[in-house]
Amino acid sequence: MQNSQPIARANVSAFRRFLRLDEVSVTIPLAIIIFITTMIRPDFLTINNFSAMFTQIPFIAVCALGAAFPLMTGNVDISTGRVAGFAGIIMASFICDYGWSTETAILFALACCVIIGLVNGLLVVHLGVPDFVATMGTLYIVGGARYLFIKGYQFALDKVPSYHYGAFFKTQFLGMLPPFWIMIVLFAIAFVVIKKTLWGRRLLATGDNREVAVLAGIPAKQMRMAAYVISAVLSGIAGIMLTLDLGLGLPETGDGWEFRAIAACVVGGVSLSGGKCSPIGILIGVLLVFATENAIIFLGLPTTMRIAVQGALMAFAVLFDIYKQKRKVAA
Amino acid sequence: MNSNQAIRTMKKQNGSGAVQFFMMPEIGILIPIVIIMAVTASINDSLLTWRYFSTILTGCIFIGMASLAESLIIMVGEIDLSIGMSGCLAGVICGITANNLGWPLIPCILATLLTGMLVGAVNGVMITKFGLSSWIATLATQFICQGLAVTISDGLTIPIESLGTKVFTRPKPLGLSWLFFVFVIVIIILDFVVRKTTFGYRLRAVGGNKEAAQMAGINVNRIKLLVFILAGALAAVSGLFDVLTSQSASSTYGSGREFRAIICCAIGGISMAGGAGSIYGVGLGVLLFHVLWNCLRLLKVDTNLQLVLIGAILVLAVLMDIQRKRMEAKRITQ
Repeated sequence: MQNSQPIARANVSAFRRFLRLDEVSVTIPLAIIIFITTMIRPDFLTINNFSAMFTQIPFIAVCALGAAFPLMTGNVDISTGRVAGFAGIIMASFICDYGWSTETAILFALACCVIIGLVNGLLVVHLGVPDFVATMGTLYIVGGARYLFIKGYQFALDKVPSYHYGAFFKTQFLGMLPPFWIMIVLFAIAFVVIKKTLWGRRLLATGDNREVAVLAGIPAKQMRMAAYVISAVLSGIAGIMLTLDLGLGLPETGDGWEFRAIAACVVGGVSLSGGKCSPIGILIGVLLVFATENAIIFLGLPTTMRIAVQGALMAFAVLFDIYKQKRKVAA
Repeated sequence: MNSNQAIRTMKKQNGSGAVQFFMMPEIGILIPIVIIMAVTASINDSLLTWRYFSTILTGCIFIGMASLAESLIIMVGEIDLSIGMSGCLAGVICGITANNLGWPLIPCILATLLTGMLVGAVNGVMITKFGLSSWIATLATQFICQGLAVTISDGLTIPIESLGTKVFTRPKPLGLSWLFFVFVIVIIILDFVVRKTTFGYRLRAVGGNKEAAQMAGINVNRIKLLVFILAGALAAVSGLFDVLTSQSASSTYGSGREFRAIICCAIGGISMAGGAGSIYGVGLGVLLFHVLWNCLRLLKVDTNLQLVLIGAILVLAVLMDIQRKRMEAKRITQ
């Protein structure tokens, strides 16, 4: 008698625990949106529509994955979008103007991203500048620096003889374009690193409770610095990917990505107080953001409401996160 | 008498008065303003004419009003990203009520202010009642306001000739617009409120140390909510300035203004950690920002290089504030 009760409770709570998983709680609104839109417009749930969506998703998804790292450690990085554009432009500029090979140019652009990440980390972690303001400074600096490279015209990569990635980015593998597969690989790596390695656990612990992490011997400052560097590098990869995909170096690449990336993270269950993140959740979050945008068009709502709906989505996601945390504390 | 003596002895302890004088945020800003103007004037003398300077002053009011709103929020220890867009939404509401509904001037302005206050109240409730962090809550309202403004205005420019406010657009006394004087009056009132009233005292106390303020019996949540509503109203005034100056309302006004406002606050010596700063400092910060902007334009500096410089100045201003605090802390421990 005494034994059976805890077992029954354990069974119930196992189901509840499944429902309370971050991934599940993101999937429910996604399913609702897809279901409602499909009821009204059956052509919403077609392979064509979704594969069209998936040609745009990888870039913001990788950017969002980058933005999630500082969020995990309890900081925020709003320079991600401009860093993406910056990396794309640097690479295109060195290929077109200086005749570098594509691989060297990519490596150089990523090295620049590492430096930007280090500057962000230095300002926030070591000098104590509030994270939001510090990354806003880099947002302006990097955002302006992009245009200094371009000198008034766009870089057409396809016209450079040594550039041979144009065809690669147009071939489909298993029905999907290369950016999609690069995204999947990056998310898989991130999943393993965050969920399965000691380093990932330490990263989450730093965000969860900095004092306790320091007491436990985790180099919290180093972790937070690393998070900023990873954020800059992943955003850089997103920007480089888009530039290669388009075959054009456009300075506007990445404008406004930073907040969509953060929105996707928040919707995808990354807690803003730090210490909680699931790459799968982020991926579903990005999908949710795009599906909502798409559904607005399909439902014939004014497309101008897109931004407003995104804002409302984000607010609800954070409110839900806070509600969940309060329940956890109460339990 | 006693307090005078205390101040005098404090000044003695602080060592050289000159250092302390230059450490005052307000004075610290004036020095770069003067240097930048001198350098620019030596190359291009059109800067020093009152004609040119008055256009700089008149141009200050839009970002200036938003900066005042932002400074109150930062002083109370939060941040508001919805300032620009709530002003934009308020301006569109002004245009709709004037043009489409045909309301007279006063109800129109009231509707505008109410819109701003409503957005501020939504921010405040989300932050104080539900415990959202301020930047994500206000980012959400920024998106919502922007979406609403574009949807309501249908992306069109709405004329507001029916209000008969054209008189405000002609520059009058001293070559300044009437709205500039409104801006100056708001600065004076706000400075009084922040420095001399109980509300202002509580505001700074909450920003300086929330727990201590709570223990001292201050209703922290109420103060924060009030500050957000007040900032919303000021943001609406900034949107109203746009509408009155251009004689039309559009959803394109005010985008990115919140960032510039934060920069002006940082330059103006508002501590990003909350609790410290002066309204006059913000006014000077706004002025420095515009003088700098115009000087760079006169010197024919590339627009994109200007962005880079502004980012660098933001970082520098915040680092200076941190350094100032460290020196102060050292002085206190000594």
